[in-house]
Amino acid sequence: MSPIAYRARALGPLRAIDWAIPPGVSVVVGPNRVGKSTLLRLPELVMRIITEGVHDAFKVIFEGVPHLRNLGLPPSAPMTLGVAVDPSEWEIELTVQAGQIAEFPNEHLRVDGDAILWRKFGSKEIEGKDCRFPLHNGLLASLSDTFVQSVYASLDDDTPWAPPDMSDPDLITKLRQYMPSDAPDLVVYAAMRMTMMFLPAMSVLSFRTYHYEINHLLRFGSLHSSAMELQVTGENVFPLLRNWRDKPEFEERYEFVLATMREIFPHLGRVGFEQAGQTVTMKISDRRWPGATTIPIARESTGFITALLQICAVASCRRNGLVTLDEVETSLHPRAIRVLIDAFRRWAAKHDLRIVLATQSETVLDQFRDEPSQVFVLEPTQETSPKALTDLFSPEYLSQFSLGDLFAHLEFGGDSDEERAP
Amino acid sequence: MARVQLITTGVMEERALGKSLRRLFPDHEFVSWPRLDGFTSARLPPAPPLPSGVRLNLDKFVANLIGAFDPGNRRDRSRPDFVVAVEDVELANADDPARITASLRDALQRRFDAWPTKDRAHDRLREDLQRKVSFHLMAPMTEAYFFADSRALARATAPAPCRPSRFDPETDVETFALDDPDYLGPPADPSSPWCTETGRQGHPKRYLIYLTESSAGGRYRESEHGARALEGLDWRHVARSPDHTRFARSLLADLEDMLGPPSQALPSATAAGQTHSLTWPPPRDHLLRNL
Repeated sequence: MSPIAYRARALGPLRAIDWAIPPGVSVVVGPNRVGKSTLLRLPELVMRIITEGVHDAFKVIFEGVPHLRNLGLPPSAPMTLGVAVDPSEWEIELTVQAGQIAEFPNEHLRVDGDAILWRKFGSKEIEGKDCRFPLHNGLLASLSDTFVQSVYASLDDDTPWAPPDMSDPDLITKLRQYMPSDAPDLVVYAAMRMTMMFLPAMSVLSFRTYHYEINHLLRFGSLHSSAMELQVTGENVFPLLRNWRDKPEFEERYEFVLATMREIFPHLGRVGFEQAGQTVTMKISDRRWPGATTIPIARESTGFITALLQICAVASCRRNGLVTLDEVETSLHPRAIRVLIDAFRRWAAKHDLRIVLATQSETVLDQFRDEPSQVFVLEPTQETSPKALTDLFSPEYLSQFSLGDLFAHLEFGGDSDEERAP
Repeated sequence: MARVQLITTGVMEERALGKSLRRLFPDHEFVSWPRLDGFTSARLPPAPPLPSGVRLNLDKFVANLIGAFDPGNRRDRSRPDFVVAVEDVELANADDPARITASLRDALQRRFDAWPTKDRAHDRLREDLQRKVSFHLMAPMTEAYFFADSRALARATAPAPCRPSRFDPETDVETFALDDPDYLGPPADPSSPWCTETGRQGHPKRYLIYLTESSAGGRYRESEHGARALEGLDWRHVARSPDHTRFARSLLADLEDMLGPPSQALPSATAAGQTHSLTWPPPRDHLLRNL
């Protein structure tokens, strides 16, 4: 799995971000208003910029760019966004003009710290050492985006993903087919570098528990759909589960969801689906009930449906992908949280996933006592955020306390004394 | 039938220690509480400066031991007959495990003296602790015992290890001295999870990750492979050598004292003098059954 880092400056509540997301399950903590939710949207923002362009990406993620600049920083501080996969790094400077991101922004592609391709603000040409090339629409990323999507679509979800061999002449020939025929070698090389960098950034799913439409889902069920991925509102969960159950290549996801639900709710019996017209709902039985009694999902608890959605969210992600879950603890009993995080760890290890949780919960944090390096702390006075907990404390020190207790007592992840002062 | 409540600090022990001990004592019930935070990963006793207002894991651990029999504990549930708390020695105190028992004893005494019960209730609570609550150590950690039982090791490394174990099964697993230059030497990939700068020697969990490491990383997970191995652990193999595994023998001797003889014969397992003196037999002024 390629280590991938997201970078941003002066973007919304974020001041300076350099966030390398480790494999497995990690967690982000910090006080309210420090930017945890914004941080969790960065990977999706980058993915959408690569695939849909900068305007659409900002429209979907932040509903546009007005009031997006961090006002705590001087106006001279550039608002930037970037992604890095060693040894490459791409950075774009976001200039807002007339209520949208200006066309032809300042951007750089660096390899081993050296700029190999760049565009100066407003220019319709990109430049490299001894080379200029017209690029009238799109960012540098547009040189490789179609190729990236084609390679990504061809990746096998059943086997561990390995980065393509950059020196493979066939691959370079294929890449050239997606590029202007007169593109100089340097531009092709840069596009190949971007391919390697953007591939691991392509599979991103972002969920926020507070965006789940639980009431609607319970009252009206889901619309029939052939989806294989959970919507951000969770509204397609019932046909999704049924689709996973009925398609052999996705059955493992269904089994994972059901096994984890039964671990959380040991009395959960059989699960079935009902369709009336275009509406799909779920019915469940409980091993404590007599005979084959079932109830419609509408009669189930909020915790039950929330747990179901969180597990489906994680199971939706493709191999080598990233899932972010904001406020994972909502509605869940501490034991359910423990089971859920443990199940996420097993699933992440098996499918090479990165799963990032944002939380204010001491119970969630306590699940990371054996992996304190997977805890990332956002604090308002940090020069660069987030910081791994093990950069703030030694593991030996941390081992003496419950992480949840340290968090609750503001030893980390709280406002500084100055911030707390009136 | 007695009900034994287990207090553990690891997911593997929480899931599987009860089932494992039940195989030895099938007439009795072993129930795990949700695991607590461990307190032995740092050198004991805890060294200042410590943050004010944040309770040490050690203090929370002893509060749970005392609270199990506190008369104010909820009355709608039956009390366990015994409580057995288990913690790993880990590496930070492996050279002097008495630091662990001494720190626990001090914390226990301090907490008990301040416990908000009075007179006869306080005396009864003291008696309950002395008769019904034990504290045991796994050395250096529970995974070590898998190396004493080839079937448990096979389950921990299932479906098959990627590298052969070079741990000498004739040596004491509680010492866990390894002579495996490939594991202890400079690694090919320093980012491997077992590949810490220090703390590889004497660390059976890291060694299991090393043994099961394929190109996709270490496969061993204590909640999965470890739990399966512990559940099926054959304690007769663990206790087969009279001079080895003294901490484990202490646990077995204590359980035998509590519950009567185990269903499986444990040759030499509980003979006097072969347990670890820190955890069995009990000292004269014991606060717990064995401490």
